[in-house]
Amino acid sequence: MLAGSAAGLGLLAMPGGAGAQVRLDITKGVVEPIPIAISPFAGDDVGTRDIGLAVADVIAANLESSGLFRVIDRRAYIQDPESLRQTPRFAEWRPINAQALVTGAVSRPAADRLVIEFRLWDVFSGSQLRGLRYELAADGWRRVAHQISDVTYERLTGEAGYFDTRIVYVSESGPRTRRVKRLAVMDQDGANHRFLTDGGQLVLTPQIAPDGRRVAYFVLRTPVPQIMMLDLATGRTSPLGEFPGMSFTPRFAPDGSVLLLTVARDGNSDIFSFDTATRRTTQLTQSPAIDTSPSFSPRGDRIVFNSDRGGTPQLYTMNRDGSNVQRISFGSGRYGSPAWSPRGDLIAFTKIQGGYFHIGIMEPDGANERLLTRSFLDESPAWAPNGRIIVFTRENPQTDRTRLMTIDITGYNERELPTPLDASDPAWSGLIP
Amino acid sequence: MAARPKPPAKPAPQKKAEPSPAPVAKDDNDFNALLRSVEQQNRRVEAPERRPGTGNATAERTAPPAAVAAPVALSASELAGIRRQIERCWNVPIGVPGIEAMRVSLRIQLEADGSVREVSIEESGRFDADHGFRTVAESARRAVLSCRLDLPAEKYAVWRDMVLTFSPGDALSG
Repeated sequence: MLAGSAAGLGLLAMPGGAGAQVRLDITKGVVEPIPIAISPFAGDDVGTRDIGLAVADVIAANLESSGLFRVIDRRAYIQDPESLRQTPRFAEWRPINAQALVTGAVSRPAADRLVIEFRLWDVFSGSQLRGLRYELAADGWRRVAHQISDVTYERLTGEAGYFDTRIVYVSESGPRTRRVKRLAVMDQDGANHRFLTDGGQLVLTPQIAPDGRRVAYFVLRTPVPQIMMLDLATGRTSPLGEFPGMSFTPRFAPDGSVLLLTVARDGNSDIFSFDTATRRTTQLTQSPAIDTSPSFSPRGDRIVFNSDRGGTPQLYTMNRDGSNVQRISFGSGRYGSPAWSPRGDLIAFTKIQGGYFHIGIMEPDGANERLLTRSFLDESPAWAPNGRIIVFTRENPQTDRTRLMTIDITGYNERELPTPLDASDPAWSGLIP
Repeated sequence: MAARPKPPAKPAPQKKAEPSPAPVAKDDNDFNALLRSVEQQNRRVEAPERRPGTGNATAERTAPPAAVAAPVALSASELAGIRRQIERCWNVPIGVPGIEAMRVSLRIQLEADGSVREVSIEESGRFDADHGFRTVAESARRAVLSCRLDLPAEKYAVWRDMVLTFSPGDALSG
C-alpha cells in the first residue's frame, strides 16, 4: 500500500440536497500486479488453434515476467476461444476479477501466411481498448506475440513495452582456467537462441547498435586485440579499425554514429570517441587516472564514466566533447560499470561495498542512490529499452554458475534469464524495427 | 518478418455487456421526505406574504424552523470510509510519465445498492489526446467499477452523485 501525504487528506462534502455531490480526493492507492485473463486465440483448424495457444502462452509469460501483471489461471475461464470471436460476455469475467482480457484469432490465408487478430478489453467498463490485425509469414507468430505483449503492456501500464527485443551476451563454457567465450543472441525471453561466434576467440562486452542490426564487441586476440562489428542478418564480421594500445567496452551513441571506447596504453586508460562514418578518433579524457566504462545519455549530450582520479573508483559525467566533468558518486565503496537509462532519468552501476557486489541506481546528478541487489558478484548492468528493467551478470560460487538476472528499478521481481550455458556481459536491444 | 499491424477489418462491436439497471427514482427515504417537508413549509410561509396589500414578512415567520435547517450530510468517518474503500481498489499505474502532476476527476452516479450506474471522466478532450492521462483515468475508472462500496443506505440522496479526484502524485510522494 502506498502511503498518502498528509496534505492530500482533504475530504470535501457539499451540503446535503437533492442535487448535492460528494467530493472526495483519492490520494492513496495500491501498486499490485494487474489481474489479466489471456484466452488462447481461436483458430480455424488444429494447426491454427495450436498457434493460437502458443501465442497466448508467450503473451502470458511476457506479462507475468514483468511483475506488473498477474495472469489468471485458464481453468477459471468460462468462455471458450471460439465464442470470444464476438464481444466477450463480460459478466463471466468479472467474478474472477479479470480487469483486462486478451482475445484473438489465427487464420491461414495461404500455406506460408498467417493472419493474427488481437483485441484487448477492459472488463469492468465493457469496452475494447485496442484491436490490431497482423499479416505475417507463418513462422513469425512468436514475434507478433511479443508485439501484442508490448501493446497490452503499454495500454495498461502507460509505459513503453520491451518484449519485442533481443539480448546479446557472452556465453561461457569450460573450466575457469580455459574458458570458451562465444557471442550469443536470443529473444528477451530466451527463445530463438543462437551463437554468433565459434569460441575460437575470446569475446567481451558486446553492444547492440540502436538500429538493432549490428553488434560491436571486443576480441582479445593476438597480436592486436580489436573492436569488431558483426552484422546480425548476415553474420559477417569486420574490424572497426586499428587503435593504439588495447581498446575495449564499446558503447554506441543513441544515433549509432559514434562509439565510445576505452583505450589502455602504458598503464593508463582514457576514453575516446570513434566516428563510425569518418573513422576519426577523438580523445575525451586526458587524466593520468584510469578512466573507463563510458555510456551516453539518451540525448547523446552527456557521458557517464568511471574513474579513480579521486583516489577510488567513482562515477563522473562529462559533455560529449569531454568538457564539464562532474563527479556524481560520493558514497563509500567502489563504483563501476555505469549505464545511462534509455529514459534518461537514472544511471545504473555496480558497487562494491561491505564485501558484497551490488547493482544500484542513482539520478544523473548522483541523487537518490539506491542499491537493488546484493550478492557475491553482480556486475555489468544494462537497461531494457523502456528504462524499467535492468539485466546484469551474477556469479554464484555455491553453484559455480554465472547467469543473467533481471530486476525492476523498484528492487522487486528479480529473475534469472534462461540461457543454455553460463552467461555474462548482457546488452539489451531497442524495440526491433 | 511480421507485417505492420493494422486495425482489424471489422472491429467487434462495442457494447455494454449488461444493460444498466433502470435508475432508481425512489424519493421515499427520510432525507428526501425531510426536504419535501421543508419546501412545503417554505411555500406555506411565503404564500401569505404575497397577498396584495400586506407588508413585509416578519423575520420570525420567514426563517426556516431550526429543526430542519441542519443539512444531512455524510459524517467525516463515513467519508473517510468511502475513501478508504476506493483507495484499496485503485491500482496506481506508477510508470506513466508525468504521473506526479496528474489529477483525474471522475463523476460517478450510484444506484441505491451501491453499484455504479454511470461513471464519466472529466476532461474528455485530454482523455483522447494524452495517453498517460488516459491510462491513469482508466485505472481510476477500473477502481470505481470493480469496487463494491459499502455505503450508508439511509443517506443515498447524498452519495448517489459523487466526484472523485484521483491524485497519483500524492499517492507516490507519501
